[in-house]
Amino acid sequence: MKLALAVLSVAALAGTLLAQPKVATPAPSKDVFSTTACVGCHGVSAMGGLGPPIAKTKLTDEQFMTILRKGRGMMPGTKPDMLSDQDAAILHAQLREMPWDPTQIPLAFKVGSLLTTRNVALFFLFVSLFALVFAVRVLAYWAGNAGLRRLGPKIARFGRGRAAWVFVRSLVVDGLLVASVWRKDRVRWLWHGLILYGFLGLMLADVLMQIFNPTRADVALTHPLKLLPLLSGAAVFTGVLYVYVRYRTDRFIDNGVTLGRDFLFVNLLFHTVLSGFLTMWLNQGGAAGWIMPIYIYHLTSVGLLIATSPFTRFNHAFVAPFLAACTALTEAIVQDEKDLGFLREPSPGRDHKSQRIAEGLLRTIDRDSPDAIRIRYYP
Amino acid sequence: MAKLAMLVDLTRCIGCDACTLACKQENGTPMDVFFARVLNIEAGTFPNVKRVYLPVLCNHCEDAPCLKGCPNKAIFRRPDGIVLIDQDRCRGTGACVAACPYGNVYLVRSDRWYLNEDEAYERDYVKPRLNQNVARKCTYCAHRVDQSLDPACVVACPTTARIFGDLEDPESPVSKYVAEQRSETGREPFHLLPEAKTVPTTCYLGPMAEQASSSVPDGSFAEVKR
Amino acid sequence: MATRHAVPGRHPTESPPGVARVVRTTDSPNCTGACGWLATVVNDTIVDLKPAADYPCDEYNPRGCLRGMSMTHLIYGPDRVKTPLIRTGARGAGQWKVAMWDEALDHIAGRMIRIRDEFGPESMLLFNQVVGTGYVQKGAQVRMAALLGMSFATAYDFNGDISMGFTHTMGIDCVECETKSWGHAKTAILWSSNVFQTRIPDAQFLTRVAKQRNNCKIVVIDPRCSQTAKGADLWLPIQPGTDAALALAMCRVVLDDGLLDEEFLRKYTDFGTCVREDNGRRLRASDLGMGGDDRFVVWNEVTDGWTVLPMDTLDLGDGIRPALRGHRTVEVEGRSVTVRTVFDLIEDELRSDAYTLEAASRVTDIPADTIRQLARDYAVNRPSSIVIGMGLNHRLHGDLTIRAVLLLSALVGAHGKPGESVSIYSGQHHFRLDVSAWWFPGGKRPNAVPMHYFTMGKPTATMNPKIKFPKSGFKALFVSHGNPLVTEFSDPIKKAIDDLELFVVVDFSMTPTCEYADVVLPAPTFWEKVELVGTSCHPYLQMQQEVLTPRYDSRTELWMVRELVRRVDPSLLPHFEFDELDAIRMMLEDGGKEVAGITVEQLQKGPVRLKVHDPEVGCDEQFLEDRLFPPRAYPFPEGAQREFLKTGRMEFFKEEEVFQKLGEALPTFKPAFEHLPEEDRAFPLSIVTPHSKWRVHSTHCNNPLLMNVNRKPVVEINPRDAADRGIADGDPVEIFNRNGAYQVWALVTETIKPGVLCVDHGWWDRFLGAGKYHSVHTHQKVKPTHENYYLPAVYAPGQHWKDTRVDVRRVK
Repeated sequence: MKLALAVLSVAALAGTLLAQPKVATPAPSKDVFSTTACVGCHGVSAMGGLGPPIAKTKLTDEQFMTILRKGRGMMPGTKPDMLSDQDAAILHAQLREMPWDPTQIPLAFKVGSLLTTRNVALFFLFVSLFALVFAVRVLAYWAGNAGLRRLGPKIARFGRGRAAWVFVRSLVVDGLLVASVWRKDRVRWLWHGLILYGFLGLMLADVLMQIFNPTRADVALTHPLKLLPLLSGAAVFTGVLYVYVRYRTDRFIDNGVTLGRDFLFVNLLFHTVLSGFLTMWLNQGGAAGWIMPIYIYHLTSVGLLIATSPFTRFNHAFVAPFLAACTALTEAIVQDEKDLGFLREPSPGRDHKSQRIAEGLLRTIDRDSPDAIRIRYYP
Repeated sequence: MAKLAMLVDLTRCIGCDACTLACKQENGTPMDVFFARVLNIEAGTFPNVKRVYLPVLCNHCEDAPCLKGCPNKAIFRRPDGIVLIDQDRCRGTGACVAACPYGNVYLVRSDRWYLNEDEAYERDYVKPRLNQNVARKCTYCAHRVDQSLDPACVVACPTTARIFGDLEDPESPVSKYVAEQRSETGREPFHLLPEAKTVPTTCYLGPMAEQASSSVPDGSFAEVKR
Repeated sequence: MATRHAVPGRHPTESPPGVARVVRTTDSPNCTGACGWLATVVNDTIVDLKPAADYPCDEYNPRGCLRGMSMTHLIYGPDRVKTPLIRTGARGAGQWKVAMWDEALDHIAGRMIRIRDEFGPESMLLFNQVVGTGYVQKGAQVRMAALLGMSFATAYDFNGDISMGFTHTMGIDCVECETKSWGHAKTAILWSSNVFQTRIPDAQFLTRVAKQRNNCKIVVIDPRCSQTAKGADLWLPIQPGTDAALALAMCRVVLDDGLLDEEFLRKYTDFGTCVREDNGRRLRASDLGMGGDDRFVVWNEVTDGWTVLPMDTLDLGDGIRPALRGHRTVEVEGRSVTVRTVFDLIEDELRSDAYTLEAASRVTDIPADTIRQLARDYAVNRPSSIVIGMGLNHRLHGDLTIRAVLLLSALVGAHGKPGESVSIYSGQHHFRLDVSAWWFPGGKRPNAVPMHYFTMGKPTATMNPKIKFPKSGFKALFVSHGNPLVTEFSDPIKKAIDDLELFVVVDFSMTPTCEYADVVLPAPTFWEKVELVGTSCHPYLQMQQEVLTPRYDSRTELWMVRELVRRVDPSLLPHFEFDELDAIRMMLEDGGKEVAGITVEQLQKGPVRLKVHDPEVGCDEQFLEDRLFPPRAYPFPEGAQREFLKTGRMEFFKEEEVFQKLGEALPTFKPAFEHLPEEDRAFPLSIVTPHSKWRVHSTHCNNPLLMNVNRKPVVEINPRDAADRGIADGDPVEIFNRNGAYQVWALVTETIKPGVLCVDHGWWDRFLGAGKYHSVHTHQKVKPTHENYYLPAVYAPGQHWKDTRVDVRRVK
């Protein structure tokens, strides 16, 4: 999915670059450039900052206006109330007149120029793949702990289709709807829901954005594509702030083992959302010079959040539903009362794990241990 | 800091399940919940059969999967190494049940009991101790440990196969026993499922009995003898 | 006990509500383990049980097991008998009238008076399980029976615990070293004994001490790889019922390899005495004109002449050295008679072809090399111990098997030292003190009748004339804490009960036996009454306390008999106006040297050590103090056992005619099933019924806590036998033969020998799939050698229910 989106954005970018017809230009009548936010990214001499050099621009009026108004790539759009069409035309002319001085191209541009939509997409592709590989490894570890392999014959007897249904139902009910928290504490469910559903909203917004607005052209705040991430972000942000409160007030937040990793996740999430909001706010016309650093800060936060997700508390988002589903599946097989091991053992539901322990023990205490190892219950 | 650990000597263990029942008595666990179990293992085919009894209880892992898997931060490790499930924080998600490779976490959706409802024993002294629909597991009898008592299964083991103490204190019973057995019988403590990398604190010493068997060669016993 | 709601280390610890009281007590179930407990009691409720672990000698600590630990769930369990119940419908129909005590007692007393007046008091039979566990309370019942002149059946022989092999050889029905003695062994043979399940608090002396400290070689001889085989170095899956062949082949190895302990044989056995070839009787001093008919002579190698064996000590000094071998001719009443030593006879027997290694190997399925090695280990790798389990004894020829094992032990002299003995822990019959003062007021004893004859409905032709079977048969039966309808004889007992006019059961749980009763009287559990408890497993006398007030409407047995006597014969009431402590004082005062000086006050503080050797090695007086065999069997007077052990030594030759007739004068091997009718022998499988880890006999069968672990009755069956019959693991199966059938579930396992089934004993019928528990075993037969003399629970008929052949099939 991500790959497709990335290809799509790259194609769009290339299309824009290839279509560059020559046009006549009016002479500049006043200095608009140095009064706009453009300077923040494109530099005082328009030879680039974080953004590319735009002196001696060859864009047609039409192209220039489109890019100016809608933004492109990392560049935000500028609305008419901030820069009138008239001034924009003057700006265009001024830029065409500004001298091309390669020595003025700053290092920052060399960094900023890497931040093309394509590169960002590739970056996230890589980070996501990295996270995916480790997430799979993490899940494999938990599947091993849950004894899924030894559960196999029992699942076969139970019915594979039935098992899949139980598993998926649990993923939805226990995972997506967080039924256990709902049952015990509605307030906590709400707080947790802010983050969970806010985060899901952000991800959804990202996907929708890629589909409906791949160039990230500027849209109004009230546009659904804007509203969704805004609200989601706000939800996550509120939720995360509450988590900070809990970290200060909950005496037992430290389980003695994972505090560092847990707090790392909370912090990364906080910074991701915060930087996201800052980016958006700056976009709406704040200190334009901050856009690029803030944006980089945002990208870094998101990247770190994703990259570390298999190792931080982030992983509870996929590990907990998976484990709960494994438990639900085992419970269902136990209740089916057909498996002899589960039927006989004192606390049903652990026969498959006991087998693993037994085989492990026999290997440890007896090098030439026999193959046929059975756990027996009763006498 | 300390590292409380339980050592189970499989030479001494006779598989009597006294620990199983002592634990139930102490912790008042409901039906189908056994914090301490004894696995009754048989291996091989007649007549070359081995039987091994393996008492299992929470391993109080240093890198406890249940703790890592808990989405509610209800499982924690005390400075003395005991891993506990905070019964007030637990929301019964059930992640820890699957997370534990040993199967030592118990979650019963609704408790069933042994006695009639009007029996004061369960009504007044057992049931009120327990929260409903929460995960439970062996606590090394932390409430007893806090009063400088040994866990119930240790106290009740009729063969003193269970030895409890602080592994970091060379004077503790468990450290002394490990050292003594190392020199006398050459046995080293081992853990269950080392491949799970959970770093348990509960450890075991192997059985010393040879468990050989001798019978006339296969076949002749099939003949009915009267 | 755990605290309420607390998370240790996070929330402050909260004590249980109410004021906790901690009581030190002892339980006294029929495992006879007599373990000390600390009970925490709040508001008259036991909230916690922990082993007391307060035995002054730390090696005994801790004692206790899963069954004792689960006792709360019997005390508070759903099956408690809460009030006296009087039957209103047919027997067993389950229709009851809830009665007040007065009503129930009047009901019983009225019938007792009528039966006494019409048929005589001896037609009322008391059968209580098992008196050794209740010197005071069950003793009170015996006291009542004695004073009223009732009959009394000891449970011990009916349960098959009586080991006639021991009685024949040593003059006492069982010999038990205390379990601490096991720890000294270097070779331990557990002969069908499953101590890891049946003697849980004592097993540590094998694992922790013998194995770990001495690297003792532990051998388990058992058709199934039992729990104890788990801790064994060698498991010998023997063909059931062939143990005597194994023992005698081992004896032969000892002979052939010259491993005899001749000094032991000369001193402690009858090997030096001679047997007359003319009449098969032992040569007596009177035959040679050297003394009375009760004295025996040996050929003295010191004087080269006949010498009369001393009958006051086993110590022969330097002056007497009995010759073990030799034909000699003596003049008896003018005739010349050839005599041979017992040793010669035994040597002849052992040299017969039946006991070659090869022959024994064929019969037992144990390789010849293994038998030889085992015999050598037993003889050489000392100290060596044998523990016999009931699998050997519950057979018609179990006495012969045990005699063979004892012969083996005598040949190598494995007795009398720590770690050396042959023990059979078949019960707490060996009273630690003489209870006569309480049980038999003024020496008056009840009319003892073995339960076998009640079960059979009539005496056998060979019944010992000493036994007074009531002329008009039995009319009333009082069962206390017994569950005879959950035994291998439930069917015949039921039939016998059907002929009764009164059947009273005293118990705390509504057992299948209670369900068949006319009147059920609620008794307290052993946590609700005072009792004096001793055991052969350890040398401490303990007091059981009234930890709880008796629950519901239950009353102590002492109270019950007092109230009954008040109604039946008020003139006897003064004999019952004592409380439990008075009774204990009475017994301690006249209890014999073991309890001399022990007071109630000491006992109230904790366990008190008996005045015995440390450790007791079994037959201490004989092996350590040179007193003549047999050891005294309390509560019988000194000398009561002399008639069946006339030489005062371990007798391997039995001269009585009945032995000669059956060919059992010497230990010998007889195939186990040959006495069965051909139709029964045709069934292909053997069945064993060992004790369960989860029960004490049938007690705890209904314990909800233990049922949680042990959910279904199963039959252990080898995969080959199962495959032959199309049985899969977990299938419901029916075990059947001509006697009956019952349904359990299959546990297909490699740990049992093909051709053998195993169902643990004590399941109540309601837990079975169908049928009556162990109905396949039902056949009662009394061996005439068990009727030759009679001393209740010492010389009395045994049981042989393991001589059963069955088959098994899958049911739908």
